[in-house]
Amino acid sequence: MAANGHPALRATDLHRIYIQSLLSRRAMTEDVAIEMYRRAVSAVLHTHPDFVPAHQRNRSGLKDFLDEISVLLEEVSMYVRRGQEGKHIWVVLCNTEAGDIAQHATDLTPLEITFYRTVVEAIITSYPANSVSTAEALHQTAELESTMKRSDAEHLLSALVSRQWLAKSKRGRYSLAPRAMLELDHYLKETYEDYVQKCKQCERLMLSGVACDAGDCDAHYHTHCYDKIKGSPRPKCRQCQADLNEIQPRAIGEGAIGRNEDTWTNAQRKRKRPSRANGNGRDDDDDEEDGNGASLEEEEVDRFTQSQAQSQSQSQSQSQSQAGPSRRRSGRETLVPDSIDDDDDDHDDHDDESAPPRRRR
Amino acid sequence: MPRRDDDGDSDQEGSGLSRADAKSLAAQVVRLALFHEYRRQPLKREVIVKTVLAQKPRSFDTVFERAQKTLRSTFGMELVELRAKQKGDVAEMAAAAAETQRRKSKGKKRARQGDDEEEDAEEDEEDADASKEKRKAGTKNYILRSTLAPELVAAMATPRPLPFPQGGGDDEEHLAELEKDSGSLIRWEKGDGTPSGAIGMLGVRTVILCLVLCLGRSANDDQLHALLRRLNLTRDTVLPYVSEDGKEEPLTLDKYLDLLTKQHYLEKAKMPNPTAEGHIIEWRWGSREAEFSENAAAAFIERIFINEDESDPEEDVVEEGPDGVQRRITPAEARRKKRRTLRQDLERAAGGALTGQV
Repeated sequence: MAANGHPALRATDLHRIYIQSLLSRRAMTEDVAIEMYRRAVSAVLHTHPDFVPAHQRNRSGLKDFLDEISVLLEEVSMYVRRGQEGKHIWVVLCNTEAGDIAQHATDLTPLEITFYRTVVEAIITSYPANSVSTAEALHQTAELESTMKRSDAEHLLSALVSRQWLAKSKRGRYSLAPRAMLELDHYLKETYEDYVQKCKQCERLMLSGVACDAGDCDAHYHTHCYDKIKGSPRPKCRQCQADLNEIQPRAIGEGAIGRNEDTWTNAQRKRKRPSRANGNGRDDDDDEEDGNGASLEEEEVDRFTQSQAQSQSQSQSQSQSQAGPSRRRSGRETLVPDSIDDDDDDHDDHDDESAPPRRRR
Repeated sequence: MPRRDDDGDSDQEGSGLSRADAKSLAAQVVRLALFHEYRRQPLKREVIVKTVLAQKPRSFDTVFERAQKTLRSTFGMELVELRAKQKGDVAEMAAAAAETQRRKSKGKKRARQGDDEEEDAEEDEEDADASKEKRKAGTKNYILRSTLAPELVAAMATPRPLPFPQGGGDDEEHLAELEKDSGSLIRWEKGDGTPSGAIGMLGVRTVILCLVLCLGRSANDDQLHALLRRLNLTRDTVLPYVSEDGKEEPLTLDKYLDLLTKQHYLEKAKMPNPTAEGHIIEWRWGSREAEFSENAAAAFIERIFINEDESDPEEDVVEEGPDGVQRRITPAEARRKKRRTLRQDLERAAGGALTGQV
């Protein structure tokens, strides 16, 4: 069927095969997407040896082909988005329509969707970390109206990672995965206007990368965009024109906070009941009990004030570097109670990690 | 929500629907169909009516046909109506199938019947108008099925490792991802959000369906489990295959059988026990045979028993004829013969000619 405005475009078996492939794969790195295109062409050639594909079987050919796919899918409110996220260019099949029908788009229950939303919110409002630790992500179940078992939340988180809605780093921190970045950017920009930053180089949503640290400049850049600028003969910040060879940028994303924060726990609550934390080495278990416990209300107030304080410190000035170290210090006090020595803690909570904690700057 | 299109596009299509309206409503039906398939859940007519056609319940046929057109041309898929759940014993089932077939063709002439089926009882009052228009036969439950040529579907499901980036690449995570990827165009474990999405589960399902087919299309619960035990599968064996996309824990065999029943791959029938009190449980194929047919199952069994590309192919096979005389035949011939015999055996085991497209 010819789509709007493109009466000449007719879907061929090649388009149909690729659309079915996209429906099952949803998000692919470009190298995989090109390989899938090649395989789709071979499949058609196998049955129709005289078939001549309209586009070359390389990056630029795929780009043109994906444009056609988007035109074909426009009618059903879907399109293919292509964009760099992290180290790779991603190809993602996106839904454009929200509302009634889109709610059918997932097999997640309303509670699970709310959980995802809450985790996303925690990630976005964790600026500049733009990521939350595993314990912090699991703790979001406390925000839900009905109870979600911890094991269910764990399964859900790993499914969300596999489905590319969340990414989990080696440090065990959750952030938004490429698919979510590309498909939800509209939602994120609208809902979290005060938090999300756009890259000064490419204007797209950016949650991980660097920010210019000259004076009170807060120009944000994707790492790959920043590298591009740095590669030019006289790299200058797009906003403040500072010479980027002389300014050391500060990290945005996971790199913005210390490793000790990866074992997140509720700082204020911990301070109130140090004895318990000492008796019970695992912070996580505490969190779970409290999720159903009587202190829920009190704790929520705590969390609320805490997040307010966070956003306040942000609105002051994002380039104030004092915010970083001071948060880190407060984290260490509560995170490593006297009875637990540093090494042990490290071992328990991210056992695949042996590198020493990295500090910002 | 149906989007009104009041741009003066007023050419009507019979049901009081402008062409633009029909197009946009049909697009929503297409989306609904895709989303339901991801959950392996049949799309019910009443869901279409409720979510898409709330204001235009009479235009179902127009919109549905339009959606089919888009599905076929853009997606290479179509909605297929599931048959009704079958009652009675196997012989009656066969008769019922023939009856359905007959009624279906009658239904095309729009034979209207006053009384609705029991499954429609739960429908809202406001849909009453729509249900009167429904044909008597059929379940009004639809699943998506590929319309692409079988060779294409086969090619799309063929796994082949992905090439690694030249020079190895330094992104370990990406390399691990590439390694996990089967490389087939359709990545089954990604396209199905339910626990049945894992490839291993697909295998277990196919084996169970083949067993039921070969047990005369209806397997006594004990009988089926006795066979599955030989594969080391007991009722509470935890099937260790979980798609990483799945959010559920691994299922036990019993739970998986229940899931397959829910997904209409199997039907679980309670039959009165002829020798004792209570009832016995019988397993049969569910209405998803529209997706995986008996002939497809036979093709699967043949592929296991007869290796098409055996490594030592061109050596003649010595065969003893019925007269006791030995003669030489080519491997291809031998395979053909083997296939013919196997097919006969399968049909005998199933208790009749196999149905459906491969």
